Amino acid sequence: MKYIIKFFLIVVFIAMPVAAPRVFAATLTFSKITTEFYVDNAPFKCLYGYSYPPPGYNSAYYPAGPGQLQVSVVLLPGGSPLSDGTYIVYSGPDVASNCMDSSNPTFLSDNGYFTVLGGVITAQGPVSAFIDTSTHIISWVPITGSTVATGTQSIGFTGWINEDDFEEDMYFSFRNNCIEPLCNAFNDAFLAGPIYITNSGEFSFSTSTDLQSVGLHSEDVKIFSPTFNVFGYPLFYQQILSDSSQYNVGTSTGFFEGIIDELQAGLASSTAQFSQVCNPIGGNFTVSLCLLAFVYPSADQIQTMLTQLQTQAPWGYVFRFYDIVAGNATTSTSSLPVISYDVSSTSPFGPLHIEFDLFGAIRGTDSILNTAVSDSDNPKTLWQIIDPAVYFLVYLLLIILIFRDLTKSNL
Amino acid sequence: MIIVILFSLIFSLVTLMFSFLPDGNVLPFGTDNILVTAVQTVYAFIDVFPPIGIVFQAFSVFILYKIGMLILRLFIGHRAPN
Repeated sequence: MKYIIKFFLIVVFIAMPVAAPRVFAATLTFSKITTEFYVDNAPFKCLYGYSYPPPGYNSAYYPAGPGQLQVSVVLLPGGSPLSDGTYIVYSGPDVASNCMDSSNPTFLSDNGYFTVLGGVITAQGPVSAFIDTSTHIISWVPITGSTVATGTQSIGFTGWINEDDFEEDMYFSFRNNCIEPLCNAFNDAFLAGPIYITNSGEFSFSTSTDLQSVGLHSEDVKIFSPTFNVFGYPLFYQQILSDSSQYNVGTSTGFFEGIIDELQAGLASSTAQFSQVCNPIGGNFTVSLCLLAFVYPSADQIQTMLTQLQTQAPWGYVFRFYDIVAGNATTSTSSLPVISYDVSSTSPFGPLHIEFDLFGAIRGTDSILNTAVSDSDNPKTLWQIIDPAVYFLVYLLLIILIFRDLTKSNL
Repeated sequence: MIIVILFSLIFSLVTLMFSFLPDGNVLPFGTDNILVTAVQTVYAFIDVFPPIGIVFQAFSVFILYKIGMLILRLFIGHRAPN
């Protein structure tokens, strides 16, 4: 016990100074709410939005300024002009197919709208809509604040270059890497650039990469514009935009937040268990269980740990292998195919249906193995009769094999 | 209660440690699909002709015996039957 306590004290004292700034920084980030609505293609029938971070802030109304409850709609310029009509603003999942679903709990009231007439926004409800033509990043892949699985994933972004900002030879650089908790700038790192931007308006970058580290990842884009040209060759560059987006890989939170969460959940269920079995006037009072509750954490926590052990590598592979070999990997066993052929009516032999069912022939109701071969009151099928003999023979051979193996004899 | 807290901490650590490892629900490098198909085909044959199942069962027992012997040898060395 002394060594266990020592071990944990060492771990905590070493890890806290390392983790504390990150944990603190993560807390600061969570106080920031920025909202962006965007349109995937124009003309469009609905808008959808997302919030960052945290996903829990995805409520019907977003604060647009001090004391205001408003939704700001940033429209992606370009494409065909907006067709005339009234556009209702939805805040929903990030998938476009769901954004017209009025049963969505984050559906705004009817008042969330704006009207377009002749390509110009003429009226708006508690929604302030405007078209953002400044140089900015419109959207990120994966979506900011979202969680993606490990493995091959698309990463990238779509941006917009303002006409006045556009210069020949301007370029952007892109970087993706894992930032925390158990990784550094080299984990899942993907670098691209300089990639030259050839025209103003929309531009995008997309690639797929193998994300292996679980944790918070960051995508960074920097756009550079030439400031000094000599005979048409750019000599100096100036950074005109720097933007980044963060997303999670896997479901894990930060390592130490994770431990605290686990510990809190474990202690909560332990306390619940304790009050249940140690309360003398409660119905479930048991002396032995109460004493056990002093030492053992709750069954829930142990179950969580065992489940984790059974589903993650390397033990997960062992359990999976067992499941497959034991036939539990799929719910039903597949049966062998039935071979059949229809002879057409134009044939001299037809019409005729020929079928060969191996399963039916051997194992079906009236097949060889399943035919009752006894006239007694308790008739048995052929298989039921020979089954013990087959078992005996096979297992006798097995025992001989093991005996041979043990004694190295040539029996 | 201090023991419960310590145990809770240990279990939390183990849970967290494992949560950072890759998912082990599916065997890697496509072997999962191959193995499931192979084993399911064997089971399909067992449906048709049960003696295959008994042989399969006996083979599994034999493999378990061999693995058991390996582990035994690992732990008690030369005194294990070889």
